[in-house]
Amino acid sequence: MKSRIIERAVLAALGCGLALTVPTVLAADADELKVFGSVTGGLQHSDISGDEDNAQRHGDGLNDAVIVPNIDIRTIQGQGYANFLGIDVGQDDQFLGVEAGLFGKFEASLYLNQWFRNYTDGVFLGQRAGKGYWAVDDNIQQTLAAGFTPLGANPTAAGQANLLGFLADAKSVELEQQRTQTGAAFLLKPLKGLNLHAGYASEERDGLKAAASGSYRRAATGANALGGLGENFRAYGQEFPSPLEYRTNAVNLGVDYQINRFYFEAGYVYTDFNNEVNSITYENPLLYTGQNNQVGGSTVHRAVLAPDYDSTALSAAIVVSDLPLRSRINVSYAQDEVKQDDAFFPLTVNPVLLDDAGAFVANLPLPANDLDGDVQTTFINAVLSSRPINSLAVNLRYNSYDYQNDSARILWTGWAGIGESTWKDYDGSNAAQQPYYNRVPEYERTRYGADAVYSFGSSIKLKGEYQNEEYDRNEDRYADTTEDTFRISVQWLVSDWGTLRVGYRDSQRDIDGEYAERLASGVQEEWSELRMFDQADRDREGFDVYFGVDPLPSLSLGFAVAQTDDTYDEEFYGLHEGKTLMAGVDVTWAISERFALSAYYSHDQLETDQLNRTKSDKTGGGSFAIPQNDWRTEITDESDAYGIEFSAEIVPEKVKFTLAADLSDGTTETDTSNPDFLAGTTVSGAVGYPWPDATVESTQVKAALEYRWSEKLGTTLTYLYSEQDIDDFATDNVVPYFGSAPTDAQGNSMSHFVFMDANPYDFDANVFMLTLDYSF
Amino acid sequence: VRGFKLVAALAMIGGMLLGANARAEDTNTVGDKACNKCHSDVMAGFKQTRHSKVEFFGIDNGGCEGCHGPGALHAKSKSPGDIKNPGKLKGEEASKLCLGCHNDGATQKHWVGSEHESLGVGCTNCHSVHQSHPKMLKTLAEQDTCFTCHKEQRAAFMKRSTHPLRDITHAGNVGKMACSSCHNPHGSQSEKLISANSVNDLCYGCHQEKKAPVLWEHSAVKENCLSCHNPHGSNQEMMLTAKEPRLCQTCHQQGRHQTLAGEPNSFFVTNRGCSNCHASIHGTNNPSGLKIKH
Repeated sequence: MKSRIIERAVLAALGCGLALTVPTVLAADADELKVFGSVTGGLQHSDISGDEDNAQRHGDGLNDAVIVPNIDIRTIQGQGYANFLGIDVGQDDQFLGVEAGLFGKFEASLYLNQWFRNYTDGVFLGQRAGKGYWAVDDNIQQTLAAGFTPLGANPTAAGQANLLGFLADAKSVELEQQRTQTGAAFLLKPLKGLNLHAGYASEERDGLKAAASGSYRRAATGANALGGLGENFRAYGQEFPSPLEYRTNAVNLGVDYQINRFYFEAGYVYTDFNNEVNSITYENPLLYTGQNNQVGGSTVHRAVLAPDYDSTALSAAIVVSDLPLRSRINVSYAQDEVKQDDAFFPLTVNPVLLDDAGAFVANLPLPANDLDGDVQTTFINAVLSSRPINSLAVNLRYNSYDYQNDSARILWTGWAGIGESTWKDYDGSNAAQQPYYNRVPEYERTRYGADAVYSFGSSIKLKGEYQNEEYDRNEDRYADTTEDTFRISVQWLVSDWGTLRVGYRDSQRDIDGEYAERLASGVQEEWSELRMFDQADRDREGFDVYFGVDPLPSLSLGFAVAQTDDTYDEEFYGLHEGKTLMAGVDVTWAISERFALSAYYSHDQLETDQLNRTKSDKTGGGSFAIPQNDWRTEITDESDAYGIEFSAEIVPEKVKFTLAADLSDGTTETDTSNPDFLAGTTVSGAVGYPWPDATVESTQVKAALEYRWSEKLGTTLTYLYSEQDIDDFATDNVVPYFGSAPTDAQGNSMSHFVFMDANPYDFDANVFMLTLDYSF
Repeated sequence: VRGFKLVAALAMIGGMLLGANARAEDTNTVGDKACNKCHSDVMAGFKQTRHSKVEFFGIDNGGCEGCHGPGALHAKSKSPGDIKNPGKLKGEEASKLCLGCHNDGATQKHWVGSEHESLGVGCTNCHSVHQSHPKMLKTLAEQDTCFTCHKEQRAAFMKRSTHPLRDITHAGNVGKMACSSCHNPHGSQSEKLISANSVNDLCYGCHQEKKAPVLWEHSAVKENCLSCHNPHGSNQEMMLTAKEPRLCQTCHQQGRHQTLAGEPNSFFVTNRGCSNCHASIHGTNNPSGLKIKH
């Protein structure tokens, strides 16, 4: 990967050099060549403790390095120009761009843009045996299988010890991804007002991310002495490194033309997305043999990754101005068709897995070779804007988005379930085994509305808005909804020293009718267990306030707050309430010409209240007879951010010092209780489990001392401190082997899972940078 | 009385003549060199901007007086009141000035009637032609310009999981993305000023692998990514709006898995929660993947 970066950097530099010659060649006149810009380079030293990968996730390039944060070279000669821009040149997230052309005639540009995203490394028992295959040594599988089979039972102590031993020796896998975007664009202006443009863009996304895949086993009532529950649900599974090798290529063509009061544009984009790794196959380290004790029976799993597709998008827009009543109309139309016909993989990767009839599942015929996926989206947006009198502006709006899914609806009669270890027969042989179709969700969203702004003099504006939004969904998306929204706001500009803006909105969303009674083609009444808040009746109220004031020419104060309250009164289960509160205040004070101070505080809060129906922690009698209970959960998720910045010009035009500190404190409180005992329906005394608070604290400090050798040349010594402390039980609990003896009330939900333990953890980083900048 | 009328008439005529003279002086330009005599510091920054090169764009009246108007009176009086200062104008008035040249339909197509335009936000509220910052913004970091009004959004930038909006190693703490990566402050065809036809279309711009239809769809996914994710940041991983399994339970009332009330050390709560098993939560094309597990 590194060599490719260097190769592209060299190519870009060559392109730059080539482009720099363009104006010289094209500029027929002998105007003076003007060159200006800036360059910054230097050295960096980093000292990171804790999770170095997490540190680099929040700040790229935190290592010991020669750095080139900025190269900005601009040239003009006559009508010709050429510019080169480089950011973080040589780093993993560098940008290199060059553009050149003749003002008013044409412009050509090239760019290379790289994005780096680091993740915490993880451990993995296997090794990569091919692009999309992770293998585990037979020896490991054989040893572990002795202690872990059957998977529906507790593993032996020896088996667990063996696993821990293997994990201790397991290799660390670097998890990271890099986007490399390259592109070229060309703009031609053959006539005044006429622009023709064409471009090509390519993106390669490479790397590894941790992915998970789990499965489960059920055992009979009271089996394995796990507490006597009616059903033993034992999850097991593993995390594995999932490769990313995405390739996206796109070409675009466009034209826009403006003449007098008419504007027209049209565009075409063709995109080809290709996933170089369409599936990932991984061996289960806990099993050597599977079904019928045969190697290959259920020891291998396959995850199918994102399919290839291509899309063709067309768009057009027209704007006509200077209509009667000082009106203007703006209409946009866009259509995008996505086609996906990746061949289906066989129902299992396990070669000897048998179905109920004794046939090899891997050889079973599929009901279709591919999805024949075809989605067409059609978008229309129209806005008629008028200003019938000077003090009144009116907008009438229409907007629709149609997601039409013409993909195949395929009838399936079975599937390889439970980690591809068993065959699930749905061949219609009894009432509970009816064949089923895949869902093909579709929807059409239509909005229309109007808003008007009335100005009282030049200081006060009153704005009123109305919008109707309708969703028309097919049976695979269940419910149609209609929502009416009213909003009113007023803004007062108090001379030139203050602004006050207050807004209030009220929305009501209603389901048209009820949830769909059943899937049109399905038999499993899953929807009775679904209460989808995004399609539910909802009342939404909200207000927002903005206040900015400059009490002194050197002092600015600002305050903003926005709150939204959602209530889902018609929902018995699922989300009942959702409230957001966001607020911010800041102050900027120019103490003198040489000293300045600014500070801010921002608060972000989300509160939700939901009621769920799930199985309780009480034992029951008989298989599948664990009593269900209603659980209420209140979640409060808060974030506070503080910051202060001080700058001082210690010696005018010579020495400058800046100090900035930013702190963030996030907390998630999750309180679950069981207040809703219903005699005969739920179980009294079932325990609700409040979760520990999850907290995230971040601190970032930046101090910079700048010395100007001259107006053009300067040196800056910068110190950065970055720290993040994460206290989250859900990730802190994670160890490479999560299992051992069950300790929760049920004794059967702990199961065993081989994690990569690749979650972000605490870090603190001290970084020193010494840079030299030169402008010309 | 007649004498008074005569004096008044003469005074009016004199006043008109003086006024006409003043207006005549107003139309006199002095050129950038005259401006540079007193405003060399401003000119130094201005020379780094494209606005100092407008003559190449076919605009004759470029330079300082292209925006500030004729400067002869100001050059003579040195009074700030004798020169137009777009930065002191109200947003709408300043915008009229800018739109005199920036009348290109492609970039200003959705400006009229947009949220910013209707509230009187003007070009000079965000841009300064004297600065050499990217996009001629008033601040080095784009988000700092947005925070001028959207102060309530600051907390998002340092949350546990966010888009790469902030990188302390860079000047201005700019990251690989900025507010304008998703929002178009000049107006757009969609809600919240997003620069795409829908929220999902916007997300697919970078997350291309999520776009195609697949065999087993998680039906909410293709309608709105925001049902589960907060693109401004979250205290949870993956910018999720809540921790699993609670997030999943906002819709799914599942009677099959035990203990989803959730002991903190339960498998269903630890690590990825439901996604420990249902990993292909965005849908899968695997014929055996109808439980979106692989």
